Amino acid sequence: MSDGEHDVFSDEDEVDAPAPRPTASHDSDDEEEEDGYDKLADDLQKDLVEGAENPNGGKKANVEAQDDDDDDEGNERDTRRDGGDEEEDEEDEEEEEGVGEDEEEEEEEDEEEDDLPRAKKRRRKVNRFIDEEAMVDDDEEEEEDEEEGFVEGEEDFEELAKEAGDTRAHRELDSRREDAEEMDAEKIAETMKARYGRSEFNRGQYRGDVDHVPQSMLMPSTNDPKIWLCSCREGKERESVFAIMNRVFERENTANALDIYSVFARESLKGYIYIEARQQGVVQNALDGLNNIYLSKLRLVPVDEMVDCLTIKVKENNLDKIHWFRAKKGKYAGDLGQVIQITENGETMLCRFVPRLDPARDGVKVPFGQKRKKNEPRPPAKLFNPADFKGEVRKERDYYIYNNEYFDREGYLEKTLKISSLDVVNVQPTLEEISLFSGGTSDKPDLTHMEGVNTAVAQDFQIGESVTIASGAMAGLYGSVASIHNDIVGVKPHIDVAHNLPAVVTVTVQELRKKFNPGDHVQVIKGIHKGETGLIVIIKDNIVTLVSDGTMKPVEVLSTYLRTTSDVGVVATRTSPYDVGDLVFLANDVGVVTKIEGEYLGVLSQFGVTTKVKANQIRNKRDSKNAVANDAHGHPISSGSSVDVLDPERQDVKKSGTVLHIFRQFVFIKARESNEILVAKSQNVEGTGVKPTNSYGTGYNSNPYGGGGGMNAPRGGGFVGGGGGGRGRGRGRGFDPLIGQTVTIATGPYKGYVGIVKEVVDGNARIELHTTSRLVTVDRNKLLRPGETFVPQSNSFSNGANSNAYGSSYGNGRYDGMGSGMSGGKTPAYGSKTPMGNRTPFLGGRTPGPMDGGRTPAWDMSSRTPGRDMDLGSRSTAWDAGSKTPAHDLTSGRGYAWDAGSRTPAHPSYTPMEGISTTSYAKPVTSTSVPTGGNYADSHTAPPAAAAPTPHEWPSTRLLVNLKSDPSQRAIITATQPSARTATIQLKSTSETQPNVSYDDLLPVRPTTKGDKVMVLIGETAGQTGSLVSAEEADAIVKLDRIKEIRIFTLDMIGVYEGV
Amino acid sequence: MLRKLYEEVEGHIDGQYGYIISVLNIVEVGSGVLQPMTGLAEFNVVYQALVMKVFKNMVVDGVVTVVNPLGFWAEIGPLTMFVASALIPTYFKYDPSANPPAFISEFGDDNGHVSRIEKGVAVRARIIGIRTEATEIFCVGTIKEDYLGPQLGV
Repeated sequence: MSDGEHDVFSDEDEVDAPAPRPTASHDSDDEEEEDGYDKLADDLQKDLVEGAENPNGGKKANVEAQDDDDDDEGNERDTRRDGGDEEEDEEDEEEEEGVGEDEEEEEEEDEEEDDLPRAKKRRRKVNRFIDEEAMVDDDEEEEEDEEEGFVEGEEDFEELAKEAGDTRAHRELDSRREDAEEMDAEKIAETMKARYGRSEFNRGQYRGDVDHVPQSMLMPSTNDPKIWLCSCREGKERESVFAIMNRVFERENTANALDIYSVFARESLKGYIYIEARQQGVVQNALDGLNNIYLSKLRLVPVDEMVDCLTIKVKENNLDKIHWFRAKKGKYAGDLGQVIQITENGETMLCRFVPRLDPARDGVKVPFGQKRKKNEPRPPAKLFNPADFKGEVRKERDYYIYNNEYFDREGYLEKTLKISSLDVVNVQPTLEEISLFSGGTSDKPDLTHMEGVNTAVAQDFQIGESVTIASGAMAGLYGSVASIHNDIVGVKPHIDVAHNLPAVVTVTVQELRKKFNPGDHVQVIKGIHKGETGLIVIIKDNIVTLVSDGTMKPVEVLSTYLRTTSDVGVVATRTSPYDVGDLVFLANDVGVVTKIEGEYLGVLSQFGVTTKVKANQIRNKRDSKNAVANDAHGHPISSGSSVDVLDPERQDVKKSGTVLHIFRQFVFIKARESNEILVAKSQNVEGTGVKPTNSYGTGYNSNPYGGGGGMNAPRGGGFVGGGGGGRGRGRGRGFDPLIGQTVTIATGPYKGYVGIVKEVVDGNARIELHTTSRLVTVDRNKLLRPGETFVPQSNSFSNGANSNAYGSSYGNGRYDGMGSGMSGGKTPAYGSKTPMGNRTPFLGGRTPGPMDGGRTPAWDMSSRTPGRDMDLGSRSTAWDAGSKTPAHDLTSGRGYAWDAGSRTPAHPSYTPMEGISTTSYAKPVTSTSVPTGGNYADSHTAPPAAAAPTPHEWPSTRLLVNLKSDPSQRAIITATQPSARTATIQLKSTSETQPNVSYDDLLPVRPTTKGDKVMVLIGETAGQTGSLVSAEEADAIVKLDRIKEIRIFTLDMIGVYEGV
Repeated sequence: MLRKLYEEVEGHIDGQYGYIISVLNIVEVGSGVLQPMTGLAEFNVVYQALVMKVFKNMVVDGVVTVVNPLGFWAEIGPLTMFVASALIPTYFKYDPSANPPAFISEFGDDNGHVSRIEKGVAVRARIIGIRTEATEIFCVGTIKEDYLGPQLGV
């Protein structure tokens, strides 16, 4: 039986390696155990003798101690090993030998008590066992005797060994043992003392303090056997260890016995085994020919790493205590998760998340080799609802399976994750996050979830605070904080419990809990209630309910968040003047506050970028309740409207929400489902339910100047920049209807100047003059709106409206005044630029009112009227109603004022002033001449009376149309019945003729290709035909046949014309 | 001068003595000392007064003023006390439909009288916390103990 072999298993044993204790080979040990200490002592003695006899084998003595049953073996060993090992200092060896015995002994006694595994392997550290032995064997004097005897003998052995006097040694030992047995306790004590004292002296550097052997003393040195690391097939580590062990046993007592001290593998290091031996050759020999071993990958473990090989790392976290964690990476990076169960090996755990699903993307497999964009926004966290994924969800027992992920009944995502991929320390979940896990619905987060989650940190404590020790050895103690050093807090025990305790007890911060009494006045120092103070009402564990001083409402907080205070705290009023959802102006951008974090605000700019800004970076905030924009279909939307957001790239994805703010064409929307704030261009949104705007009538009835328009959309006009001079100017300024208007200065040095009102302050208006582009300030009473001083020359025009003061004086006057105003910049050519003029009447759907409605009532009227009609389809009645007449009147006036060019043709339609019947539509020309005056004559008369369709009734024969009811159907208008507002059409597909199709059911076909024959549907050239020269986006260049001119139209204005 | 004294101290709070409810007797009026610059005189007045100072754990009687789901408020002379619902015995249930809203106990006494805590009811409570501000004293009380709670016949 070789020493090495023994070591193999004994090491295994100690290391708790998987190898079961090979009892057969350990018979001797077991026997010893059973026989008790006397026998043990005998054996040991014999062993010592052996040692003495075989100085060469001394260094193996510790092992030999085990197989000392027969003395013969010693001899055998001698012969076998003779000189094979390095010579070592004899004395040293002797000592070690003695120590080895001790160790052995102890090992036998405390088989169960597995000690530091590596202790055995390295000889030096055996010291440690003496130490422990001293502890363990305290009351076993008998044994001590024996030991002592041996140790005494040890010295002798040295000499004896030198003399090689075997028999003498035996004799001496025997006698000593007898002596020892006879010794009384006192003597024993003395000898013990002597023994320890001496050994300490002798061992010098090896032996530290008896009570405390520093770990460093036990470190392996170069004199110790070396450890080799050998790679093996993963999963076969155990097997390999056994194989080597078997081999060792096989070969023991043979010529090529393996001189290996130990073999072991670590659970944590897969694919490697360790072999302890003195020489590499031995290791190679041992491993040679074994399966699953990669001998080529043999590596010597450096001395300083040897310790690590066998160090079992203390787990940093007590996994039982983890309730929450954060994912480190992946889709859920940073998200809070809840631990459901930790698997037995402690490496993975079952946990749950609030899923972040994106149905639009999750189902789609990313093509191989193509990574998903990193910056893709994460889908919002939302509980899984199987109803959202119908057809894609399987149900398996209590789980829903979607996309190979498991969702529990409550909608949480369950996953098994490696703990190493999670952040389990310092999770510090917020209440909001945790409340997501308590069903996601609770308005009031359950603080009990927070318990034990937010562990205290040193900063939470202050010297002098009263605390209790909540856990650890000193649990239950209370007192006050005396000192704080990093995470170690000194607690001065309370006088009531201080007896028998040191003046200051040190504990870690985590063990501490603040101590409060009901009625204490405290301040919240952390969390959402930070800053609030109140009186404690209830204390339940570490959840404290206090009555806030400010609100007198109960507030629940964790006790760590509290601090006793004497002053009445400032009740945490909102420090920021801004709130989520506010429209704010930054240096360059406009945005909406999306969140508030302390002094920082998250602002979503109009470009969709969220930035963090400080409150003082915000210039001002505004509301936009009066701002109006037009949606994709031209419907007005304003804040409060519910809309769908159309993603230009993804038509299928539709988000709906409510308009929060409108800034120019940017619409800020609060999404209905996710509650997030989005920004979109107005043309990319679609109003779902058009918010009722002020009716025509109301606006009309209000004060002549500003009232009507103001009511309808006072600011909208300015904001959206409807048309005319008001576009963009005067935006955001006031509510004064004068702003943006073109006025004439009646008196003063600037008398007669025409300009645009930019601003009205205290009755003074700042006017930008047309001529010099200067700003002058003039009393607003000295301003004349265009035409105000004139006697309306077109009185007849507004006759129908006579009853209405507004209509006659204002509307008409306006019209007249325009003459001069117009010439400035409103030539008909520009008509196409003013969206009003061009689009309004035509589009129908696009209620133009808001676009410039802000201007004046009159303006509003004009644009709105036709719009409404087209839109609502109730046109004929509305339109014809006598009561409405004044409106028409105004309209025309206005139209002139602002959009002369494009508007002009509208006039004909307004003639009903004169004769209220609808038939008057049919003869527009006559009326056209009435209002048109002076400058306008040319353009107004241009439309050929015969061909001119009524501007609001675009349908004309030979026009190609689509049926609204079935857009795929094309038809040609073969005849129109303007009075009935119906047309006879011939379907392209079937050539079937359908009479009496309402205008409302028809849509003109937009030209697309160059050369298309087109007809101008509205505008001054309405009814003219031409051919498309080119079409770009919304604009079309058309060469008109009749006047041989090239004109630019918007596509809205023209339709495909089927030539005869 | 006396009027000035009354005005100044009555109804006010002294950190040391609590509420000064009424000046009972003026013991001594010291000689006036002119304040430099202002022309005002300063008199040292020793007076006896009726004061009210509450202490923690003191049992007080008061009248309920407001009852809401969170608890109820009571006036104890000049000071206000709040008794949170958590400090009301659990057998008192808040009944929002009662008029006025009240905490009503689930069982009656021997005579079948069900005790209610509603506006105007006298209660006895123990003070568990006091907050003194410049102009008022506020305290938190409990009635979750024996012999505390609404008092009959007061």
